[in-house]
Amino acid sequence: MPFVHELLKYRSVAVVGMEKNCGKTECLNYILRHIPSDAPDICVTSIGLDGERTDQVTGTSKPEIILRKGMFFTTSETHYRARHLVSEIVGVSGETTALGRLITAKVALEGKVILSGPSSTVSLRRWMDSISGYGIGLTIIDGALSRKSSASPAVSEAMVLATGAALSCSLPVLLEKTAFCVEMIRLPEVEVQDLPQEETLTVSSIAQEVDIAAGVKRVEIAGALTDRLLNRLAADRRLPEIEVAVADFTRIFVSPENWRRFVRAGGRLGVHRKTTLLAVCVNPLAPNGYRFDSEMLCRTLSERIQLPVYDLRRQNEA
Amino acid sequence: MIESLPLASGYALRYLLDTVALTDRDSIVASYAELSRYESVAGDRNMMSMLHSLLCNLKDISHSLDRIEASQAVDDIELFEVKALILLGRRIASVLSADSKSAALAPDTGSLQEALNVLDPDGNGISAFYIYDSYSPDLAALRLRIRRETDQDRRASLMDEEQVLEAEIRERICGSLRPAVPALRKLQEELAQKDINLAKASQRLSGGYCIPQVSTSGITSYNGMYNPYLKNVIEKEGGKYTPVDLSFGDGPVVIIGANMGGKTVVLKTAALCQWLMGFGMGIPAEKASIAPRDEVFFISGDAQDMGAGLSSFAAEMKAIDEVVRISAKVDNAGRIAAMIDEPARSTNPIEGTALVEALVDILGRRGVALLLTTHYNIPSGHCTRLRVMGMEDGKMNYRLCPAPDGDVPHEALRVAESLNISPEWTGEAKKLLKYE
Repeated sequence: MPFVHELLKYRSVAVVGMEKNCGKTECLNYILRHIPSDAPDICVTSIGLDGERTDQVTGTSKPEIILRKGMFFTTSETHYRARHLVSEIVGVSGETTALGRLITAKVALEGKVILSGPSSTVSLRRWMDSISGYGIGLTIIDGALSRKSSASPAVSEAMVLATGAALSCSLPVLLEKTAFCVEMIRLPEVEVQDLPQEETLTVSSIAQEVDIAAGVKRVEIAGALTDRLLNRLAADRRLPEIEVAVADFTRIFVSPENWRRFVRAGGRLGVHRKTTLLAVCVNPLAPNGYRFDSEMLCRTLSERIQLPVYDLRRQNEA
Repeated sequence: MIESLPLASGYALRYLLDTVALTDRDSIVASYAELSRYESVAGDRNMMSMLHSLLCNLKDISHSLDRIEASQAVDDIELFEVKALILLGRRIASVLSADSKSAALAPDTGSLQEALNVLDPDGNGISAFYIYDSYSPDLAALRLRIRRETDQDRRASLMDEEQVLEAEIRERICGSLRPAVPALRKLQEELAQKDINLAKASQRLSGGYCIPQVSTSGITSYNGMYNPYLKNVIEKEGGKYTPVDLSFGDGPVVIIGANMGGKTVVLKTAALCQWLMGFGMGIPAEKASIAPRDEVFFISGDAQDMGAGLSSFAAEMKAIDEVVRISAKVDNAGRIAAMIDEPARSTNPIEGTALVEALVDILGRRGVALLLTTHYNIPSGHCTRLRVMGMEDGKMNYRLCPAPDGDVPHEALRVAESLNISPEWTGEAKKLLKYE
């Protein structure tokens, strides 16, 4: 089974979609369906986000996840009450989300449930600590639509990326966007985590100017790395001599064009915490009905990013 | 002090904040006696850590208990919480009973055994709940059919049937739990009180706070009283806090002295200690004897309220007038403590002095335990005058000493100089005062 056995080597994996309708839920359901029955206990949740809450208000349905007997899951009180499965509650969090407290339960009779879990990376980390007592071997986080925060390496050890025609109906654009995202995920970890204070310069995106003094070996980015800051760094004559570092790839908000200009100027970017990209899944069908040839899309993207790419719907049909 | 209480649960904090301060001697004595029962546990780091991590799980489930009592439908989440409460009580009882010195503190959960049996039909003894198969053979059979059903539509319809059956069973469970609701409420409160007592005992031991004598004479006195917040700030900066001795309640006490001499801090700390005793907490002093009061007024600072159209003077006068009026109505004004910081400071010194002198006379006659600071010269006829020792060798001595009649200390210019205020200004002021 593609990549599922790989998942079991990690304690936490996030499934992250680059855009809505990229087949993230399908990917998650695929993983849940193919996890061997003798695998360690798993717990699944989703990171609750503004966009999804808006969907709650407008009544747009959230994708449902199918869970098998013995699996643990965490969802909000509202969605727990609306579950279509039988489950035993094992924990109720003190933390409250917009949809109520978080309920952790173990499935007794297979069925469907809507997942809406912790709403921030901090609360996600707290949740992971709180479930540690249930003997969970692997936690799977349903990543946010259009957001990558749940894939923050600070929280999950590995990730699966879902992309597809929903991102763009132009193949070159789809390839470019996905490849750039993959390139950022694969940025190397900084060689030395802690440098002496006099050898580092910490800057933020709101800094009016960046002055890299002679002894500085690394520029630490506090918070997000934006195009403006990246361009400022690219213009500095000392750029080839220094290393730029961000906490993890989710803090990078730069365009591919500016990134390439930075690299051409001799810039090197590293992350403090690296996440392992296990696989890329594609959904060749766009919501507007446009469809790529699945086999061609998987092959082209795989050649571009040098990583296996799966169309899970095709896998299921096969 | 409340913020630094090491409480484990949010419910215990809300419970404490909803508690009314104790005002009668017997209750206060009993509350400190209860606190002392927890000190051996609070000093045992392992046991505290175990109890703290258990009490973190204490939640307020009053609404669910109300609903069970009112025969309203509750869901699995609420039933889980009822079961979790009983099991939490048992676990805390088991931790406390494990040691002879804390065994007497263990909550009694014996009366809840029947309720636990209802919520734990398989006797697993773990904090988990759903409508178990063992509640009904029909339910078990139905779930088996669902498991075997491969047709999705038929499965969905069986699931609907299952939901109906679950609801019936839930109603039955609620009926069985109803008689246990008073005992559940009692257990929830008892656990919150344990959390509070453990936190108070732990805070007292770690802060070195004293347990006060409860004074019956109406006189409150402190040896080595200190403001815990300020002491912490000063010591963090490498300084040394000067504790003060203070006694009041037997006639008005007026504190005079230099600016920045700690007069307001004395007042604030005295008010704090009075409230701490009302909640049975440790007192930041070497030794304290505190008279219980029904009302404690602390009036300080610029009370200007532009929204209500009140200037700082008007707002302050109205606040102080409340003490004057209330003390006139009550039978025993000695049960009122008033800490008033520099009253009438914002008006002219002639009328200001008259207002303060009259206030000291009136409240003194009524026996109000008055502690007041001022820069005005109030004669000692109807009050005890204390003075901040003041500037000594360029440093402030914050201790209080008796101040015989006479002019108030003239130290404002010296204090201003120590603050490095522009010499042009202080120099000219000195010339006007003909100091030079």
